[in-house]
Amino acid sequence: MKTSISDVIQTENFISGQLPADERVLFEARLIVDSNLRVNTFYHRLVHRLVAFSHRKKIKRELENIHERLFQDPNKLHFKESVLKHFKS
Amino acid sequence: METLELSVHAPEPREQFFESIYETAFPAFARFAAKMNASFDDAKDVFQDAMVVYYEKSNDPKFLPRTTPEAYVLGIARHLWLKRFKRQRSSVSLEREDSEFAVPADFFPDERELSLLSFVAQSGQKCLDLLQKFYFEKTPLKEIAAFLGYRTEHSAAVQKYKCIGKLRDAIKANSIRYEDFHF
Repeated sequence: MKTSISDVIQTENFISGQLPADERVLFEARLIVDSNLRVNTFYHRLVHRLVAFSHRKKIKRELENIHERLFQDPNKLHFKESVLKHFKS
Repeated sequence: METLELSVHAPEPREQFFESIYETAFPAFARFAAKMNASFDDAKDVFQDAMVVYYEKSNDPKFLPRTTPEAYVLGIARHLWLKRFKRQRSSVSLEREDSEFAVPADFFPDERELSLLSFVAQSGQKCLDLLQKFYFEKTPLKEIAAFLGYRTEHSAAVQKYKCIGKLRDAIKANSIRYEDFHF
């Protein structure tokens, strides 16, 4: 079943703690009786987690580029040596 | 560090900020890691993860570090190292294991989440960009709209919800069973 945008908005507000108290209680009650809502809420949280992981990968790619640049820069030889000297046998 | 709040959000200043920390803190962590018999690649990997943790923490308005960014990253890196290489713990002080440098328990994906990551990337880079910018780079919707070519801030907001719904339905349809995530 396709997701309606109002359903997404409400779930988002519930997850982020932005639902007013009365609506939150109602949502929690629906979660108990409505298995479809329960599953959707589970996947909604999973989307957040997956977006977080993909963002971490993106930031790590940026860091890897910085790492490469610092290690290749002839003006940063001191930096390079100050790291590599610890790994020399 | 008064410019920190601004410096870590947009890509270009973020890069300068990262580079400055990297240059100062990585040699110090390399020294620690080498003493623990780490390989260069492991040291680099753990250090970069620590930078990511620091970046995420610094995006939290409640984050009030009591030390410099470099010292904070080193604290996280050391913590991560101890966590990852438990066998070596006996020779290292654990005094700060439960400290402010702790890494969130769900920082790394489990195997099932890992298998879904490439699927999420394939299901729409524009959506992923939008959601990453909104949730993890704390970019205002107005800027997101301009950057990703939405006509108004409202369009970007609606698109954000559509993207969540799209990804949610796509993951569900990708035959990942809800039960699989429950033990």
